[in-house]
Amino acid sequence: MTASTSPSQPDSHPTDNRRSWFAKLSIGLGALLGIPPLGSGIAFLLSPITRHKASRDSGFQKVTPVETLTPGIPRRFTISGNVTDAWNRYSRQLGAVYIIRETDAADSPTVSAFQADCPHAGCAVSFRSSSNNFQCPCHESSFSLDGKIANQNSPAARGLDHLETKIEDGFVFVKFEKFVKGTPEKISVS
Amino acid sequence: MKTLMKLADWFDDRTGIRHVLHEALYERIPGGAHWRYVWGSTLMFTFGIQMVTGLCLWAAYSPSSQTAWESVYYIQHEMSFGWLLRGIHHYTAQLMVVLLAIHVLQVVLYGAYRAPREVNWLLGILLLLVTLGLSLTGYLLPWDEKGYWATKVATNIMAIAPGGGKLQALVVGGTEYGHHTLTRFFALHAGLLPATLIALLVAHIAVFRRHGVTYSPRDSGETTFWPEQVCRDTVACLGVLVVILLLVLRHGFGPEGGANLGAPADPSRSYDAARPEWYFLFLFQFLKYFPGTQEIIGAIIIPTVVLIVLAAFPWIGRYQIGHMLNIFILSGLLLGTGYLTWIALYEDSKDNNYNLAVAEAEKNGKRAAELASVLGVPEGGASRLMLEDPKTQGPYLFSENCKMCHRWNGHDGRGYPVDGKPTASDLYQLGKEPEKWIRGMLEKPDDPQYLGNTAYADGAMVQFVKAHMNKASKNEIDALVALLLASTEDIATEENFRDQDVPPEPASPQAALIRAGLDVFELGFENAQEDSEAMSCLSCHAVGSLVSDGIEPGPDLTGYLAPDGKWLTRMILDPAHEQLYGSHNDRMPSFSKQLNDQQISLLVRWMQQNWPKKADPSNGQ
Repeated sequence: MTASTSPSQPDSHPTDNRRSWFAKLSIGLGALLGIPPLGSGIAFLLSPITRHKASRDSGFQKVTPVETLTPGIPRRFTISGNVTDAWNRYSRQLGAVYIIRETDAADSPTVSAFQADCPHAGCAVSFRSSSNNFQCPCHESSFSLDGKIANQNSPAARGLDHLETKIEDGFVFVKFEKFVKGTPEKISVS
Repeated sequence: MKTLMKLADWFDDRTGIRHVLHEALYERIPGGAHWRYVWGSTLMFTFGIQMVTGLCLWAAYSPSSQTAWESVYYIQHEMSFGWLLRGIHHYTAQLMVVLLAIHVLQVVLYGAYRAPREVNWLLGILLLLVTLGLSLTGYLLPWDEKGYWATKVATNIMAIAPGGGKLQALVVGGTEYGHHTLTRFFALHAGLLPATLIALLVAHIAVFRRHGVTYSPRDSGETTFWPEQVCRDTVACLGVLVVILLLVLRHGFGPEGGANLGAPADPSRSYDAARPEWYFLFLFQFLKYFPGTQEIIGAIIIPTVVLIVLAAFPWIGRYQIGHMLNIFILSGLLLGTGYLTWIALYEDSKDNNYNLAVAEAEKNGKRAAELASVLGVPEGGASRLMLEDPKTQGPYLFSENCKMCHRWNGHDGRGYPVDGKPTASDLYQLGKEPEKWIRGMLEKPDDPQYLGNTAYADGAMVQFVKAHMNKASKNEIDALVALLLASTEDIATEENFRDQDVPPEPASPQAALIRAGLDVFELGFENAQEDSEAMSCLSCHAVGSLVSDGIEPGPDLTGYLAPDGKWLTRMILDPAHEQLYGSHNDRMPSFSKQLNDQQISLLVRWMQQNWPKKADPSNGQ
């Protein structure tokens, strides 16, 4: 299809200023017409970036009495809290954590806690007592009880994410956070 | 530049795009470019706006009866420029109806529907119907009161046609309006109808290109579509856009502007402001002239006949006289619909109850948005927020339960006038300005606002106040007022201090007044104490632990006007309780069996204006 040998404007007359003026005006106005719908539409679709709001409870949450934890054996707990999901505000499950009681001493127990999301792509890891480590069901990462990557072919860029803990009145409190997946550094998502 | 041209050449070689563009832009227009040809293009432009804004809105809209209003609220109030986007979508839809009418009128006046353009005329009528269908389905999607009720009416009318019941169930998604009504309307609005419209539009334009414009013999000269006609079209589109933006911005730049969003639909609440969109008002008005059994004539038969006549225009218009007849019919139709619309608007403007209902709907819509913003929407959806909101429910509860005897600032609580004379006090001041209330009561107890309409209008209280209040000093009145406004706990505290041999200094000026108030309450006014027959409040009323020694005591006034609303709650539950009006109770029924605790709490909190407010999110929750 190379029928039109002078593709620019075969019918245009270089002397016809009137037509050229019409053409310019049309293009100018045409561009103007697109601004309100497209402009507001783009601004609207960008809302999640331009209007970022805290969307869930942060801070320490009471999880369990220390005495229910057996030293050296991780236990999984569901963390609930208030969530703002667009227009909704309600309490629901935020995610899960693993808590391990480290010392046996009854008077000064210490615990550590991990985010149960795999730091690679966010699948939920689970504790396997047979191998005594954490396994990710998606890409075969495994993590030892201290959270470090346990298999060399793991695609994870970092070990399991430690969460801040404290013990008060015999209860374990965990500061529930989520972190950006896939990065070697631990970056909190607030 | 050269590379770019080469790329363009390559692309053209593979696609033939230049030929297509050339065909499209350099279409010959015999008779020259004209302003009267712009209307089709403005419709194309508005449809383009609807596609763009509609797709964006789609990205945030959630069709279900618990999320539709909520997501539209979020679009309108929380998302960047959501109000503008939604406003443009809303008003463009309205303007499309106007532009359609102009387009049809232009086509008929210039005979552009006549042979050989019959098919295009029919395609145009279908496009008109699809556009109206888009409006009708779009109106429901916010699931606010007005969309809900208007759609309910429209689909119920559908049901009166033969086989309409099944059709209605299909459209509504069952017998009740709910999740599936929204999913189905949304599928129609964003899927089937736009797809149909695009297909019809392609055919409409293709057939138009086949026959070209209808020019009159007076038109001379010939031009091409680009740029002369395009320029006129763009200028007209700009005019249309300006009108749309003026409509969107007329209430302000921000969420308060743009399209209105009413309160979430509540099937249990009558909605007296129910009206279809303005362009269906003529039909709404038209149906008023048909009694129940004949409604099918007005709703189905006549509109169908009108459509058939419209469809027959090209054949009627074969002869010049037929063409004149067509112009006459169309003008008649447009004038008729205009007239019916005007009557509908005029009657509404004169209808006081309708205007109050519109104001109430407006207020509820604002309140729903405020609650959603302050409290967030719970899992049950925003209608739960409204059901648990004193400010919203109070007026209805008052109107349903109290207005038979009481008034609220002269009306029924919702703002509607009440027939007949009140037989009890007007409670507006009691709730809203309790201090003003008690001062007024002590000054003019037989005012209709206080006891004037009750059995106590000439009772012991009125007589006592009239006889003794002139002896009261300003300080004594202030002290009594403070006592009656105080909570039960504050009164108990001051009473304990009062009984001590060396009472501690009052904690605040207010506490001092309460303590002084107890003295006045018990002993009466200083100026009247020599009078052997003098009485004090205690002669008839109790307060705190001070118990009246009267034979037939009046109500215990502990915490009478306290902000906790406990006294008021007890009064509503059981006015004839021995600590309240006892055997003297003047006709007030006990509401303990008529209203549940939540309703009474909503009523009392509404009366005392104790509801969640924007400035203070913790208030009341």
